Amino acid sequence: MAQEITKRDTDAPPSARRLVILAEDDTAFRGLIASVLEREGYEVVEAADGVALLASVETALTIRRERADAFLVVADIRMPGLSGLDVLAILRCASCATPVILITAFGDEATHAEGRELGAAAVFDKPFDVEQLRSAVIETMPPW
Amino acid sequence: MTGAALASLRALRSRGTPLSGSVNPVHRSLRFQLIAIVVVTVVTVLAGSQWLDTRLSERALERDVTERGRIYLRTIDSLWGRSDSETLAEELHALVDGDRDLTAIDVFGRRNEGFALDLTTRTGAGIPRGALRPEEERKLLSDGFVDVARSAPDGIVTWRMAVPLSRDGAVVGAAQVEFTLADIKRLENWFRVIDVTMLLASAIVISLLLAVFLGRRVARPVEVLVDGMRRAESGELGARVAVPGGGEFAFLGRSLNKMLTSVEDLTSGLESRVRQATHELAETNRELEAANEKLWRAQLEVGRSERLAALGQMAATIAHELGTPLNSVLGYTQLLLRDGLPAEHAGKLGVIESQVQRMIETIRSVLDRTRDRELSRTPVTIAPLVSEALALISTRLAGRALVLENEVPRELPAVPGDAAALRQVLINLLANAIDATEPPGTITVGAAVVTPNGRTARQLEIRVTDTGHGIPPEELRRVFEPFYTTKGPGRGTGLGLAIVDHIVRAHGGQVVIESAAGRGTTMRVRLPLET
Repeated sequence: MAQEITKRDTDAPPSARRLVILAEDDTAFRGLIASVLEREGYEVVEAADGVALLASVETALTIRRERADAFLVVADIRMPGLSGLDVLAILRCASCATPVILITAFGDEATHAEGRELGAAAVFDKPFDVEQLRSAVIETMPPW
Repeated sequence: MTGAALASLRALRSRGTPLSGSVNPVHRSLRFQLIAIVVVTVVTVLAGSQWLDTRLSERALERDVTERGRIYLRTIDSLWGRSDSETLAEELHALVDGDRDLTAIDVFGRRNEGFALDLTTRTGAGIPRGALRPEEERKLLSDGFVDVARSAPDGIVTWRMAVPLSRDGAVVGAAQVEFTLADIKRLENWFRVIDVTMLLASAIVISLLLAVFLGRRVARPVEVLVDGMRRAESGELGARVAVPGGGEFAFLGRSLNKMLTSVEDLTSGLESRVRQATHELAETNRELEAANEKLWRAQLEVGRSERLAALGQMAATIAHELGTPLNSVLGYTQLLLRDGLPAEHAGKLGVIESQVQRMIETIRSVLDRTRDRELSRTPVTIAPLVSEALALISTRLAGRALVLENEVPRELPAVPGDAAALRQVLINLLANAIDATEPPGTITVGAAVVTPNGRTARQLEIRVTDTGHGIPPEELRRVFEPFYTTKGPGRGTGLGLAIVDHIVRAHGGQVVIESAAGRGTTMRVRLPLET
């Protein structure tokens, strides 16, 4: 089980910042998104696959005692193990109201529809403008 | 006769002689043979009876003469004893005068050496003729009767009969009577002439009667039969013979008619069966051809679909693999651009960004083209769709001297379909037309409601006509194949028409291409109006 949870240092105090759990198997791209979001003042927890993502969510809920709707998940759909859609489905089954933004690569209409159906806050189609993602994240859950 | 006629005909058939050429000789020879046989028979019978009659009458004459001779000789015997020579001579003359055939009576006296003539009714030079020859004398003495008939060259028969004259048991003389049968012979000859004449006359009459009879009863029916057979042989199976009268020929005619009827029925049955079989064969052939055509089309379509599906899969994989790195490049570039770099660097980064965007656009367009998405079925009005497509495509003209003409009528019925997909169809067709046309040229879009091939289902036909270089016949079949392109490298993906075909088929329609090399191409998209 590949697990990579990193806490990045930012200017704002950790407790004051909103948590974003970012799941993406591509390190470079994950780094890009993380840097954009951190620049906006989010606390970003990174996960390399679906299982790590679920573990991070569990950590956030149980150890950090975050409210389910007080943090955000940004997840790639296609990942090793559990896909972003799988994780979203699991969260919804567990009545976890955490907002989820999904990312897909050149996703087709069916994937978009499925994501929306499961209650994704937004579905992004790679390659997308990171600016748009930033706006969507802020809109879904402001960093402060 | 029937048998003979049949045999002749059969012989004729077996020789293989065409009937037509020898109809008359057959009849003639048959008739003449029959006549000859009858005439020969008649002549033989008549001649035989004639001969028999002559023989019998000769025998009767012989018997009659012999009888008369014996009577005269007995009379002479009795007269000879009682009368003197004077009286006897008178008596004998009286006898000779009383019988026309009796020409002479001689009485001989016996001498030492033989018999000598004592008395005769002959006069003049006829006397020595009546003398008895030595062998006659001997026979007279031994047998008591001599009978001599002599036929002269002139046909006159002289017949002598002699008996010995006895006194007291001793032969003392002889008596001889002589008959000359000249009259009888003459009569006989006369009768023979009459008989021969009769014979010839009857032969002629019988021949004539037989000829007429054979002509009526044999030759004519045979001719009718042969004529009927000849007509039947020459293929006129409807020919029927009408043999006059009854009998075997009429029966033969009826049999021939029956046989011809059977043959005709059989032939017509056979003909109709052959016709039926031929028809069925042609029908089967047509069906086979149609099936073949269908199979070929299906194979082509399967090939296209498979290639399109494989392409879709490949494109999706590549896109997914490329999506993330491209997004990284794009994202980092954008981050750098936000960092307020010097203008020179910012410009270069801008180029990087635009190039990445171009890559992304290319991938997206391939994906859009290959991805099978669910087509919606809503009533689509064609006219605005055409205007839209023309507006979109006009950017591609890039100042080329091409005229785009919209001839689509406003009042066309809406077609059930997917507006976006149909717009794609129009765009692809127009793009193709533009690429195929060298300026100056015209590209015309038209539309109409049609019922092609007399089908009842109405279809909406959208027509895109260009005045371009056209498509050679050998390439027409391939233009719908994915990746098939005639454009130069980098100018076309070879997917445009494959996608058009795919979308139109998904709508239940079809694309028809009409093209003549050098004179342009017309693409007709036919979409069913009723589902």
